[in-house]
Amino acid sequence: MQKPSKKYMFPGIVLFAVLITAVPVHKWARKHVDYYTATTDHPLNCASCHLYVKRNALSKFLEADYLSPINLAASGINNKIYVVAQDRCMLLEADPESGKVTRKIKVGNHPHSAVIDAEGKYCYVSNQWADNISVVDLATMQLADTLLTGNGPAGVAIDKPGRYLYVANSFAGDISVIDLQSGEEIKRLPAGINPTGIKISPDGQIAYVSSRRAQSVPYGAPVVSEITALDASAQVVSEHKNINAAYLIENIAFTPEGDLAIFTMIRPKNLVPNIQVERGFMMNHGIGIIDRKNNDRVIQLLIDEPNSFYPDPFGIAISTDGKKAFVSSSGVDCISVLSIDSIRKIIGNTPENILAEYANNLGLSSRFVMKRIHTGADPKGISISADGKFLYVAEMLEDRVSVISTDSLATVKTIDLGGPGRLTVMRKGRRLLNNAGHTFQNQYSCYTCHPDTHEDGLVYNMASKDMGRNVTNTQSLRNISHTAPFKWNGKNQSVYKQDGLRFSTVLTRTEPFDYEELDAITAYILSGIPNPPNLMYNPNGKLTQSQLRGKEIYERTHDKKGNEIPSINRCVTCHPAPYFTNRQMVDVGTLAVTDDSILFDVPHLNNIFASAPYLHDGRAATLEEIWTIYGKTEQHGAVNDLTKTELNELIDYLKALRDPEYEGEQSTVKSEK
Amino acid sequence: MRNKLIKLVFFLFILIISSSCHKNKGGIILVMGKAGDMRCTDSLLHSGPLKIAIINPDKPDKPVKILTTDFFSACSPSLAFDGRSMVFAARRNEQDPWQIWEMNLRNRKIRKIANSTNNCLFPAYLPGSKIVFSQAIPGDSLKSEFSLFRCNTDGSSCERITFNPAAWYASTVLADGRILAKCAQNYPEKREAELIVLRPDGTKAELFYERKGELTGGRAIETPGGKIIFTENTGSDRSQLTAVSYANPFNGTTICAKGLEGDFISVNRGSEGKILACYRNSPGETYRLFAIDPEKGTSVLLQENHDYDMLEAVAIAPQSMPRKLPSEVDSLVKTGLIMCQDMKLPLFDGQHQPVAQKVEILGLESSYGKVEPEPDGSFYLKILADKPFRIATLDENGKIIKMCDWMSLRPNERRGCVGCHEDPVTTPENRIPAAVRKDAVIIPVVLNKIEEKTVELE
Repeated sequence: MQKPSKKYMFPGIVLFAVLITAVPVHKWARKHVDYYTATTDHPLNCASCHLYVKRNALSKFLEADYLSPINLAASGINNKIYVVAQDRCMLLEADPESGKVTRKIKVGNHPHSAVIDAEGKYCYVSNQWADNISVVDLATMQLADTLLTGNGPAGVAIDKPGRYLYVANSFAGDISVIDLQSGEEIKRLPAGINPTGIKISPDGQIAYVSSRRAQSVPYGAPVVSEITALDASAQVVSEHKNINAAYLIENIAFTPEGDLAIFTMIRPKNLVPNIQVERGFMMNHGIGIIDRKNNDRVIQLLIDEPNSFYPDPFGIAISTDGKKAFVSSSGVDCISVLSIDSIRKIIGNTPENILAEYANNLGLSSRFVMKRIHTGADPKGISISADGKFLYVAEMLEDRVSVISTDSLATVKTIDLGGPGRLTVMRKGRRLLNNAGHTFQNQYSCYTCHPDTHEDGLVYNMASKDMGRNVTNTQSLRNISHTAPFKWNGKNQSVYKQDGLRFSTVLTRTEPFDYEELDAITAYILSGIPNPPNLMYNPNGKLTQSQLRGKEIYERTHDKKGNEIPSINRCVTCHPAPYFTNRQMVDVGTLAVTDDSILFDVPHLNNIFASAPYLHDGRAATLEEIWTIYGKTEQHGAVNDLTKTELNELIDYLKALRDPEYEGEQSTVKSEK
Repeated sequence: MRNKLIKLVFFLFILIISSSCHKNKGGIILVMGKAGDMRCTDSLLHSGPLKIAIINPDKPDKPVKILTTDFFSACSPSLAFDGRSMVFAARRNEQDPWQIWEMNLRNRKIRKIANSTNNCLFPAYLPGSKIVFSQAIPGDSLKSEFSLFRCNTDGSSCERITFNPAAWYASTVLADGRILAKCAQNYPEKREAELIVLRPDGTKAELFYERKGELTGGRAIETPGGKIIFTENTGSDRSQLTAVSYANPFNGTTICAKGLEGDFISVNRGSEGKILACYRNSPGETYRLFAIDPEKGTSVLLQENHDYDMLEAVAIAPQSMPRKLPSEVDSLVKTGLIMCQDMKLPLFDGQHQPVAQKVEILGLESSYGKVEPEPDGSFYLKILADKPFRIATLDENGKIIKMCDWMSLRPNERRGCVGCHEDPVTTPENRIPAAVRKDAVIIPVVLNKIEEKTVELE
């Protein structure tokens, strides 16, 4: 018998090695994937976790530079439209006639909105993550000036004489009034929480400023948001108008007569046990109407229908003839066209008590919604051409502007803004997060409770076990990749589990994401959502004296009497840098009688200043209240020996915490202040 | 050897091509019955022999091909979402009960799905290889006549999903994943059927459409354009195709096929956005098959036969898969929870009613007890699952103001009502119902505690 040839020995050994390792490796991989996905049949695809969700050179190579147009402004002088490309930090000039982008300019970090002056000379672009306004000379498409604002400039408006620029500072909750002659901010006026939309009435007398977050109140108290009214002739606040039972008021528009101001809004049902989606039990979406000729009374109407919902209303524009209002329903990729005449009839002929009931009526929209016009992914800002013939829609996740005839209500053209033209895994995930298609009857998207991928400031009764128990404060989705486990009770070891079957059973109550979609949304959540720079409390990494003293308290090991603080009662033990969580389960003495007996997952603290209310059930309206009202024992940190000033210093330090991405030279998102 | 291999590959190639080009390139499944027999849903059980056939509307002269030659009678065909198989109700012999069968439309092989001694009718496919159908329950302690059941397409895991004293039939599955069925109360008094929508696990059953006339014929259907179309009686031997919007079925109706003012016996889905309806002008005629454009209202006669009624028709075409809804039902739990936000909520039209002071929960034969609401009008009940009950609001003298229709909760179901007098388009006010700050009241109230599994959905 012949001996096997030597040339077959090496491949044979390799084959043998592969055979004896394949089975255990496969078994290990199966176990590994099963653990992270909390399923037993997720495909063993290494790329879904180890490529797309990592921020490394390869994943960056696979990702693409999208434009993400969020808002736009139409010029009445040169008939061009100016599109704010948020992700590429650019202002694009597009010609609706040719359907082409004609010019572009880099503006500041994370631009939000744009407004053009009456002469069509300048476009003012708010740079939300840079705390300034880029003034673009439209003749040369060059940067003419940069104006400083408050924190998080978003909505912008110019008064009728063209003298003042009003800027809604979304992070600070105030309004900058900038003198356009001097370029200086002359006043800062108080607004609601997270203001973003601002509109001046046709007569120039009044400006309304929206606010997206509701006032911070204990769980159970009514949800109330603010619309701030400004006297535009004197640049003062004339009224802080309470808008009951609504939040996420994004934008406002006036009828040409100025008698009605209409704003977009969401009516959440966070106080109702979340036991079903049917009959609008989770989220309703609609418009609010300020009836200026009737003591500024506010009427709310839903644009939803009993079995079909139109979530995340964002932009609003009214046709030049005052007959139609257009609302972009970002969560379902459509524009709802509303008949203003029908709305006038409804509010004019209905007794006040019935009008109040209408705010919860899903059937009424059939009386005033004329049409739903399908758009590309995530329609956001909208604007009407100067001649009133066209509506321009910024399709944020399509990198496109659609042009809709205001007469035929048909899409007549789309303008490709020049994005990458391919759909990456992360982009697909972002579309899924912003779209309500995976919720029963499209009632809400992830975005609804996580606007701007943050959190909505509300506390929900998810009623997973029993109604009225275990209420939970919504948590931010920003930069959470290093902060597993998830949920306050830490039961979800991964985003795969968080957004998998449980998500469909408890939240969306419809078919769960398929695995490709789950991979995509996980990739986006884990690697695509940066925190904004903390320009308000820590613009450049240099802490103030107060913050430095607060840091010492945060990191101290001994109290003021020299006694050693037990490790578990030190701030830094559970909240170590850089994400300020040790990812452990702890009892900090905040369990309520309506909570099951559980430990809480230590939350991360970066940009914590923007996440009120606090604690698992949102009972603390401010960081101070965590200790002054709800932390009288030492269980949630040893602070009882601190003076009021020292506690304030600790709070100052906490507010200064910012994303590690902004620390050091490896920062990918620069602060520009 | 090489030649053999080539022959084998060639043979496989021919096999694949021939199987992909098999018999069913479109076509219509048709239910036919001899002219003159009684034709209505109630009489279906006793009707003369019905045959399921396949026709090609493009070739009207071609003879129809009977698919159910092995059966005495067959009806209620419903196609799988891929259009490759159908489920139908049939009985082999005249004395057999109606059972549910599935036919592979490619090779015409059949298999029995339901295996009951009672009549089973109106099968429809559900996502996830399941079907829903109606089954008679003679002598049912819950006094139901027909209940909805669901099972796997191999007949396993059969479970009842409706539990109120009513006849449930003519199910169809909506794109949102829910079942739309006709439900006619039969206790304590008989009522006309309503269109009720519920999840495939039997939870969240609610009124879909406020009936104007008598609902006749078979299933309602959903069109790709978002309409729900069904047959509705408009007088003696007259019925119409009524359409409501899926999005807002409470916002009035439209009439499809206005030119046809006789009697529709059924409507089903067609192809290319059309619907198929079986219709006759007058009782002296046979039912004929029409294709109707539900948007334009235009109709085209597809097939007629003076000897046979054409009673049901469905196009052989794939359709998009409805959503596969998750289930909160846990069979190890014995109860369900229901919360009413405000039983004093006035009717939406402002109609004056006495203010309710209490609610009484009524079972089939006895009262389960009275419950005092919280000052905000809310109440919160834990009720034995799969038992029918009605909730009545009582005035200060204990007199019934209003009683809702029969309800039942599935094990571990949690559901909410805005109010006892709620308008079906009203959403809840955003406030915590005071009742949920306490434990739920156990119904029947004579029970102090129910030992059961605790479920945390998350």
